[in-house]
Amino acid sequence: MIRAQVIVRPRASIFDPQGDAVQRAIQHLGVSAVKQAHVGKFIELELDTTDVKATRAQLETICKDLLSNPVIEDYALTLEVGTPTALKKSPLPRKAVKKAKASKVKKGKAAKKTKSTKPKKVVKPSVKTTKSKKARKK
Amino acid sequence: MRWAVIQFPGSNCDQDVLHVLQNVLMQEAAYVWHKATSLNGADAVVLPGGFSYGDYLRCGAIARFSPIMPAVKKAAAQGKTVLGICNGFQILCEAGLLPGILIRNASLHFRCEAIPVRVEHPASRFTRDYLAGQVLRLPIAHGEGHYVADEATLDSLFQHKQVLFTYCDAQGRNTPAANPNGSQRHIAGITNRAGNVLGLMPHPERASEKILGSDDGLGLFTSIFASQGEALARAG
Repeated sequence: MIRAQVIVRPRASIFDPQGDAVQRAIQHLGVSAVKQAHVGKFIELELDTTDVKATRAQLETICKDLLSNPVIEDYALTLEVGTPTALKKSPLPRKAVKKAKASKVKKGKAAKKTKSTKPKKVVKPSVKTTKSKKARKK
Repeated sequence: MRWAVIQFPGSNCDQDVLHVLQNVLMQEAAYVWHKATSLNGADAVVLPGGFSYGDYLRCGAIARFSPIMPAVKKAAAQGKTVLGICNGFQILCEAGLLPGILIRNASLHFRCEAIPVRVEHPASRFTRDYLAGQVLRLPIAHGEGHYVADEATLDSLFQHKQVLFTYCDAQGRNTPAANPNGSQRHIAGITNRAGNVLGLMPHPERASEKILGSDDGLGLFTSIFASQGEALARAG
């Protein structure tokens, strides 16, 4: 099967009222270093196919037409092939997470972000997955 | 004149619109279920307010793929009147029948109140029964009415007199305080370039009877069938 993950982000040029409210709430909680917040969507799709090329083409269209609106949003699509059991074992595949982070770092301005992601990568990935699994069970 | 009022799952102003058309304006009007593929020869289509498909994903994002939408697009291309109110406006934007898009109100508040709205151009099929600069009192009820488009689109909308309604104060001035949702350039309602498709956030159907507080919205409907009558006379 293929698991597709889509991250939809508000465009930088468009005012994001939700992100603005979240950023202000975080500041209220005392973390004054947070200067910007962007609220988007995370969409996960499970497909009963292994044809990556065809799936990518189809899903690009779906992302543009339905899942995001190009007037106000950008999207990032990641595909992952595997057996259903293998994909279930890692609810948030490292590849996809890394890719998402990498693209954010590219777009983002602050060098701090890069610093903060680095130590996380060093941490054993197995620990990370078990943590997220536990969190999901709760 | 025959009217079609589209019912999407989650529409909730469909009955108000049909009531005004049938009982106040004595028009021939009928519901059309979103799964239908024909407007049954209607001269005008109304996409009513509500929360089609629960506003999931984005307001109007799923409704635009309803089976009835190709017929709505065809009617728009034929020059028939298409009116989208509130959620209907959001659907028309998502469907690409109108430029731009409506996002979350800048204040994050759901605004439900009667507010002043200024008529920008009376020379349209939707506003001919109003005066230029006339201030109407119309109800709004939305959480996502914040109109956004790029600067070039906004300039073009004003240049081609596609902005029919703007938010204003009681004196008709576009002050920031009088903008209920943060809409760019106070936009409350726009048409397509051809002028036959209108989307607006205020609810004219909720202001069509004096006994219910205001009949300022009635002019929008009467304008449409006055224009239609004229077009028929010209054709005939």
